[in-house]
Amino acid sequence: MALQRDVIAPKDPAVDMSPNLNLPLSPAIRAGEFIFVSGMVAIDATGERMHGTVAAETREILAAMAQVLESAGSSLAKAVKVNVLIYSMLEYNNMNEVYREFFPAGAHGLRRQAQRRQQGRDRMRGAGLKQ
Amino acid sequence: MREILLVPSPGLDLRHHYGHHQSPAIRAGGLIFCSGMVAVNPETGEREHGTLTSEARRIFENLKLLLESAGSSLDRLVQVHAMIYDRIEYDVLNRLYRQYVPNAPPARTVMSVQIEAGFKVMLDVIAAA
Repeated sequence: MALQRDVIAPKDPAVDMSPNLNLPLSPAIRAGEFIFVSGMVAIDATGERMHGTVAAETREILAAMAQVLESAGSSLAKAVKVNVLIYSMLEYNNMNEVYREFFPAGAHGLRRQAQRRQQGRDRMRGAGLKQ
Repeated sequence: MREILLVPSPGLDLRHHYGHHQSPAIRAGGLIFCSGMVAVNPETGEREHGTLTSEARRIFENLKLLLESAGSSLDRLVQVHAMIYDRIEYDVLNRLYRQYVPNAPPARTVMSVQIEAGFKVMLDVIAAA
């Protein structure tokens, strides 16, 4: 009866921040029909933090998020909710332009945006649907 | 199916002590969605301001009480949004955090924000029932 809970291991280990940055988190957890993804910041192929423009960080994050979701048998197209944290609302459009590439019109999930002081410029958290 | 969880200890219900218009936790679809937890005494509801470590420890202990009373546990946490008052305490949070979720930790997002009543940390969690 209890919901099954599984840790998602990304196929590409570089998108897993936990060992590279020594953080106590799982990249994603599947619980029942949903996948809960940890907050993601831009990291490069070696797992190092990749500071850049909002557009560059957003692109890096969403590409990695797509990989995490695909490793779990889901995809960005099945995203149900994305929280976007951005260091300044002046960059809202810069983030949106890249965001649209990954979530074409009509396909995007709900998104909530909050302005936050962040360690990275951009941090995204997604929840995807398994099937 | 949506069900309001009863708290195992009176201090954990912030409605009674602080008039917050919220339920401590809601069970829906096999998941438990908890309200943002801050450091309060589980018996009296008294606020327990302290260091980030002491507040986070109190929150995890309260969370343990709440989840276990609902048939879940800290091992069943799925997602944690950890809010801290200053990102300089990020590593301090991580040190304490590891003690409570040592294996297969939940998905997590940390953000630095101003928290109600001057608390240093608040945890907003979802657990598998």
